[in-house]
Amino acid sequence: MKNLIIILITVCICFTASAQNDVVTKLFNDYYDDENFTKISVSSKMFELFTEIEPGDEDEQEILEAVSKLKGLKVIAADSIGNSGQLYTNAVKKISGNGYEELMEVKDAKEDMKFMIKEKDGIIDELVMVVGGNKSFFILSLYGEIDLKKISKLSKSMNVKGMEYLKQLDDSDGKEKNKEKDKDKSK
Amino acid sequence: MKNVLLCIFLSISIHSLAQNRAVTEFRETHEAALSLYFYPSTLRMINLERNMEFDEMIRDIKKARFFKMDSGAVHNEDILKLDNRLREEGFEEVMFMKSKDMDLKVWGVGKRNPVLIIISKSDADVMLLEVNGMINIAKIPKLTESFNQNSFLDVLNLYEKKN
Repeated sequence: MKNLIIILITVCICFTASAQNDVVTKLFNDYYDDENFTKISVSSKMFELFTEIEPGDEDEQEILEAVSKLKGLKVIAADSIGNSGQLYTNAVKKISGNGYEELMEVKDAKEDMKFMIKEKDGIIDELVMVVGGNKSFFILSLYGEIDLKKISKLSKSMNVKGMEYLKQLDDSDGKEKNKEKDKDKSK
Repeated sequence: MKNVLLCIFLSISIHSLAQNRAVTEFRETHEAALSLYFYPSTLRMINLERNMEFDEMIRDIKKARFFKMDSGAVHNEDILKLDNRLREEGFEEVMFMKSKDMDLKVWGVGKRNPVLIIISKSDADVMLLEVNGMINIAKIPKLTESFNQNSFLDVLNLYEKKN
């Protein structure tokens, strides 16, 4: 009986651990052997390597802090496929139905872009970005402890197209704070 | 993009000056069309305009070795053997990229004084880069701007032109 309980607990822990990031991992595996897609995977060990670096200034410190809290990164990308719009719709449908909250959506004439997050105890532990349209398709999943305000700076060092849209989060946050200050003043 | 990747890898960290045995054996059994050995002084030499950000980024790199081989001379099994040897030596696969044009793997060991080994295979060639030391990734944004201004000596393109 004791052994059975231990096995059940172990199975539950394994299930919880694998539930995180499983949608993106499944998509990653689906496209793994398809030559039209570029796949990139970075493990936590890679990010650990950067924790020993001495920052030169505040900007560098923020980049290094953001990187050191990451546990992994996965990218699926294609830049010349015909059904990119359909792939985008399917990917968004699969991801949003698995406990991810929509953070932001950007639509323009060429591409659609959606940011989704998974949150636990007030901490964002996964950020997923999906881009589709104009013959391109792109999914990025960052997991670990994620500070959105530092991600835009991190995106510069990663040189990932599209993540510059996250800067809008900082801007909208700033505007909200200014509105609150104005309200306080008028009182 | 290739420049940025190379720059990232060259800018990652070091300690042990010893050459990795698995890489050395691989090099001995496969003829390299291009072999480059970088030390702090020679790494700084490719920085033609004395870019401070680059110098800062490579500050903790003690040594790097780069080999370029003809892809016809390296079979997939050879790379699998190298992967296994690195695993036996305690290396972990820290990154991989799989695309139509190129497969790339990064193996790493150590934390304070890491050694990174990057293996890339394309239809044309196999490239092997061993970096002993750490690259300061926080310098990459500023460095990318510098790369766009072509203020670095592109040693790989020198090789392409020669051939």
